[in-house]
Amino acid sequence: MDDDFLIRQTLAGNPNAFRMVVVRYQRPLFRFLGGFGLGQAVAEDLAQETFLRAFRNLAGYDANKAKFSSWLFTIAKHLALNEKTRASHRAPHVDVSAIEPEVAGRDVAQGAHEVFESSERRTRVHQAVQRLPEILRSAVVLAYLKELSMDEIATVEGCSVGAIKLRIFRGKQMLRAELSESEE
Amino acid sequence: MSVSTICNTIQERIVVGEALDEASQTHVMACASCSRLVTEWLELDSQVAEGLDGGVTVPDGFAERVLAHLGPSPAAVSRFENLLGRRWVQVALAQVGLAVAIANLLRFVFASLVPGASLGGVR
Repeated sequence: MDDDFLIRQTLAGNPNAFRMVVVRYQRPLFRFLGGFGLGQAVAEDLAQETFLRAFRNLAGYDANKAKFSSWLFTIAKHLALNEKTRASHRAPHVDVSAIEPEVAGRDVAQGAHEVFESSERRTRVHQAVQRLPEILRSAVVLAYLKELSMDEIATVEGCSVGAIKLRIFRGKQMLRAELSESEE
Repeated sequence: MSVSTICNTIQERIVVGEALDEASQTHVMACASCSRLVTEWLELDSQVAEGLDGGVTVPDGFAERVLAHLGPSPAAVSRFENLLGRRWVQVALAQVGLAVAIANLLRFVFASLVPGASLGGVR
């Protein structure tokens, strides 16, 4: 079932249709918000707010202007950037869940050392992504999600496809340099 | 196009993550430089994709939680919001507000200049 059909059904008052929209986009949306360096609790709040805003404004959504996925990720991006700005004005706090992701839930038999190395590698990557300039980060994260085409990423970022390709190119080059540096 | 130009074009597409056509893929297989680059970037891509989200995951029952917070149907809400969003409605509301403000100002000025006069007030 495509997004347009689900939106029409939602507007017609079918709650199951919007449930399908949420289920379809929840995982990529959480990964996108995680790419902004937000902790689990904040990501949950913002993902929920993204879907609620999309629902409330669904009648105003114009499929001729942008694909639904681009529209949804644009809402999420604005919420994430607002949150980052707000957080930068607050006292810094350490989000433990962001430092040791998923360690607790891992299979014990995998071996503590392996888990530690995997966790450390993920943390290193996550920190490298966070260090990217704001203008490059969102484009790079969207590119890695593989949910949107270049055209759609350009819509979310509000620039041309050429500019997006350049941002992704530069962002990935910086990531490579940073990660190879931290491995040495 | 020279070989180095072909390599540059293909390598840029590899880095950006664009799909390669048949001819480009054949070139990559035959070209040591492009082939090495593809391997390097595939490694980086899988490493980054794994650590991208910082361990943020979808909690169980998230969709239900969202649905529990949904208000009335967006179509019902939108009729009123669409009306308020129309330019002519906004202009009309602004003009009514301005007219009321001017009337109140005139009333105040008149009451100040003409002591004992009142516009509809009870003395």
